[in-house]
Amino acid sequence: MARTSRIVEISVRVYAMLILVYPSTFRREYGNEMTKVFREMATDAWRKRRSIGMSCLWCQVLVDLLSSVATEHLLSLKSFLYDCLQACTFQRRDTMSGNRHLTLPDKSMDSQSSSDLDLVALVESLDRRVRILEMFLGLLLTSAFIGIGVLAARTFSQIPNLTAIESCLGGLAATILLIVLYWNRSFSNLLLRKGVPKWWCAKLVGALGAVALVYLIPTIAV
Amino acid sequence: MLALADSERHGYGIMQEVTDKSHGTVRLGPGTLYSAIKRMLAAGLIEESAKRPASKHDDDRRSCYYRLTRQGRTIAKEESHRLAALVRVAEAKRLIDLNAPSIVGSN
Repeated sequence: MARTSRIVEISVRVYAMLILVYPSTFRREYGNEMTKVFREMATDAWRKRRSIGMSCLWCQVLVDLLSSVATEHLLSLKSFLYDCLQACTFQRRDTMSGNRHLTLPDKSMDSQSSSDLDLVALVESLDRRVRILEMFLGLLLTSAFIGIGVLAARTFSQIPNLTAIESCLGGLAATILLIVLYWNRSFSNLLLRKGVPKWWCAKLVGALGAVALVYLIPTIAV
Repeated sequence: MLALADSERHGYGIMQEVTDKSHGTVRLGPGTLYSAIKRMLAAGLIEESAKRPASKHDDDRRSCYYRLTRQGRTIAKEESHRLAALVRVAEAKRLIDLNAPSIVGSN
């Protein structure tokens, strides 16, 4: 019985870690529910078919994870692009109207509520621009991380007794580590709490730390 | 949506219902399930239920339950009618025989 719960607990912990590859909004909303569902699946699988059941469950869950992660990241990217388009339209409308609503407030509103609305619009516009910048920076860094992963694979290949496939897996793990550390909001928040002044500093510190790890491990091993 | 047609269910309940009704041919994983739930919530086809059915298990009480909305039920009905009409056409053209033992046996 103790062994059952240990295997299930370890599986649940591994799954909870794998969930980190989902986009942060999706993870925050459904991560706990997904872990709960996985726990029930794992308990059932172990009770019915023991280790064979667990192996089948992991095969099913890994295939599901790969396909749904790709879908969610594409949907997230689509939503970002939609926001970009909206921000551009918003900016163009503002330019074309010459900020008419700033000079000619609606007569039905008093001047206070009108200026509040302008402020809200301004903040929304700025927020969108920041998100666009974040998206482009993210895409740029993700591409860079993939490149670093390829380089890491080459470094791994210099370790004696390591096959080509193992080196590639090392490179892939390095890429995933970099992407997760960059995109993971809770990791950035942790760094922010530790005294890093800005969100982009936190992301950069995480990414640089991961790059250092990627190069230190194979170098020490060699 | 069919899994929620008769009662409200939590994530694992939906998963089991889909597996049962498809005789094990369709097996949803947590990622696919919650991806679909997210899209259906956004489209207003399902909603989170405030009620928690009486259950012995604490996990069942803590889990989030989902149910069909009025719009979701209407769309599910319309889609079922459309599929039933297609099946009738296929039967008229002798592509399938609904009384055949293999089909009756699987029900």
